[in-house]
Amino acid sequence: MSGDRSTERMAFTFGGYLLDVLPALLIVVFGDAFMVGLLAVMGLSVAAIAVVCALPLLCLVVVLIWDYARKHRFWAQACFAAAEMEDARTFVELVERPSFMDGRLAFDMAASVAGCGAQQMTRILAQSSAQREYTELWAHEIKGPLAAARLAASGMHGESASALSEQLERIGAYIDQVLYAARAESVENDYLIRDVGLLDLCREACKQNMRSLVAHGVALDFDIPAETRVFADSAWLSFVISQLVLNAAKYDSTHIRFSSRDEQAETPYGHTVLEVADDGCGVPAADTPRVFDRGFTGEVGRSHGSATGMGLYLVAIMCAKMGLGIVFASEEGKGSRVTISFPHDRRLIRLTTM
Amino acid sequence: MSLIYIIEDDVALRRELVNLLELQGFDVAFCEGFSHAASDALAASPDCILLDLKLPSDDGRVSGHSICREIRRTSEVPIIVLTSVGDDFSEVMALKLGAHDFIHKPYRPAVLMARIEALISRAERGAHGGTGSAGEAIERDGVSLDLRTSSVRFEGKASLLTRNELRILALLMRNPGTVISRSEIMCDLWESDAFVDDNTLTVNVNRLRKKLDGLGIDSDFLQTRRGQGYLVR
Repeated sequence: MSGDRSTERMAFTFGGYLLDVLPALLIVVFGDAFMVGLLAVMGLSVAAIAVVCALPLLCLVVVLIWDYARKHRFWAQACFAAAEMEDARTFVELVERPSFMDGRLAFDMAASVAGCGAQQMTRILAQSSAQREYTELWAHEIKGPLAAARLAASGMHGESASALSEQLERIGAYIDQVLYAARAESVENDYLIRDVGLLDLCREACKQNMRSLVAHGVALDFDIPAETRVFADSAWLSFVISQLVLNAAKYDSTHIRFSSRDEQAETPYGHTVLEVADDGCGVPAADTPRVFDRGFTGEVGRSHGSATGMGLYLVAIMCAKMGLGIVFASEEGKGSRVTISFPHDRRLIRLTTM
Repeated sequence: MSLIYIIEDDVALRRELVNLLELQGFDVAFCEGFSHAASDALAASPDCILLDLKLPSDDGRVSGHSICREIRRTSEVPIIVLTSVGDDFSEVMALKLGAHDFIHKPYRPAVLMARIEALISRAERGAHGGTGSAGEAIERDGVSLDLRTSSVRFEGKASLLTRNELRILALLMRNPGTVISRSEIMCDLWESDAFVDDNTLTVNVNRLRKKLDGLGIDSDFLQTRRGQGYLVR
C-alpha cells in the first residue's frame, strides 16, 4: 500500500478547520470592527455598541462550533476508514453518509471510486482465474505428448538416448513447476493432507529426477526409518523434495543425505523433522535470509546460470499452506541443509494454515 | 502371454504404450472409439486394462469413470487408471469405482511395468494359487541368466549374483549388441531402490566381470566401451 494511508496526514483537526475558514472569519471580524467605528461616530453609547457588535461574533462562534462538530463526525470516520480498511468496497458500510453538501459529494465520490476499483478487481480476478485454469489445462495436456516421448526414448539406448531422456525429465520438472506455481499462488486450496510414508516418498521423488541426478553424479543416502509417516499432500511434498534435490544437483553437490528424527514426541508440539543435507557450493551468508523470496537468484544462482528464483519460493509457500515448518541453513563452500518439520498433531496443521 | 487392453485417446501416447508393452513381451489390444470401450475391452478378455480417465465425450456420457464402472459390473479384471498428477478427486473416485491402481502422467516406463506386472501376478495368484511369472531365464551365447535364483550358468557351472549384479547383467543381456550407457544402468539400479553412485557401479561391474571369468566365459562377452558404456555381444 502507498504511504499516504497514515492517520497523521489524514486528520480533521480544529486548528486546520479554523485555518480553512480564516478568510470568512477575517471578513466578519473586520466588518464587525468597521461597524464598531461607524456606531462610535454616530455617537452611540459604549454599552450599546458592545451589545450590537458582540451578537454577530457570538453567532459566528456558535455557527463555527456546530459546523465543526458535524463535519468532524464525518471526516473522523472517513479518515479512520480510509487509513485502516483492507477492502475499498467496505468504505460505504463503515462511514455514515453526511448531511452537509461537500461531505456528501466526497462520500459519493469515494463510493464511486471504490465501486470502480471493485469492478476492476472482479475483472482481474476473473482473468487470473481463467489464466490459471488455462495453465493447469495446458500442463495436463502437454503431459500426454511428454509421456509418449518418454516411452519412445525408453526404447532407445546409448549416450544420446540417455541425454534425450534426461532432457525430457527436465521438461517434466519445469512443467510441474508451472503447474504448482499456478496452484500455490492462487487463493483456492486444492491439496489433500493425508498420512504418507516419508521414506518411499523421498525415494520416489528422487527417482522422478534420477536422470538429472545421475548425470550430475549425485549419490544419495537415506537414513529414514521405513515406518516413518507424516501428514502432507503427497504430490505437493514430492514436488518440494524434487526442487530440493534438483537444486542440490545444480549447485555442485556430489552427495545428498536424507535423514529424519522425532522431536518433542509425546508432547502436543511433537513433530517429525526431515533433513535434506547436501555438500554443494552453499549460499553466502548475506543471501541466506532471502532464498525463499520470489524471483531471488542471488550470487550463486547467477553464477550457475538458469536460475528462475521460483523453486524455493514455491517450496516455501507450499510448505506454509500445508502447515509445515521449513528452515534453510547453509555454509558457503560446504553445503546446504533444509529441514522440514511435520507436526504430529493434525489439528496443529490446520491451526497454522488458517 | 498376458494381454493388456489400452483405453487411451492420445494416439501418439497409445502408440508408444503399445510399442513399450510389446517390447516387454505383452500382447496388446486397444480401441479407437470410446462409446463401446467397456464392452470392447471385455470382449478381448484382457489380463489388465490401462484406462485414461480423460476421454473425449461427444455425447457427454462417456468418461473414464463410467467405463470403469461398466467393466466392474461384470468383471474383476485389474484396471490401472492413467491420470495427470494432482487430480485427487478423480483418483479417489476411480479407486472407489473399482480401479486397482492409478499412475500419473508422464509415468516412468519402469514404474508402469512394475505396476502392471504386480497386478497381473496378484490376479494370477488369486486365481490359480500359483507363484506368478517372475521367474524367467535369459540366454545368450551359452550364458544363461536365471532371474528366479539370481544365478548365472555357463557350461554346467553356476555362480550366484548379488541383486545389483543380477540387474546389471539382465539389462545388458536383454539388449544384446547394444551399448548401454553407465547412466542408464545406474537409473535401472535406482529403480530398484539401489541408489548407487558412479564408483559403486564400477565396483559392481568389476565383480560381475570376475564372476563371469570364474565360469570360464570369454572376456569378450561383457565389453567395456570407454566413454560410452557396456555391451553384451
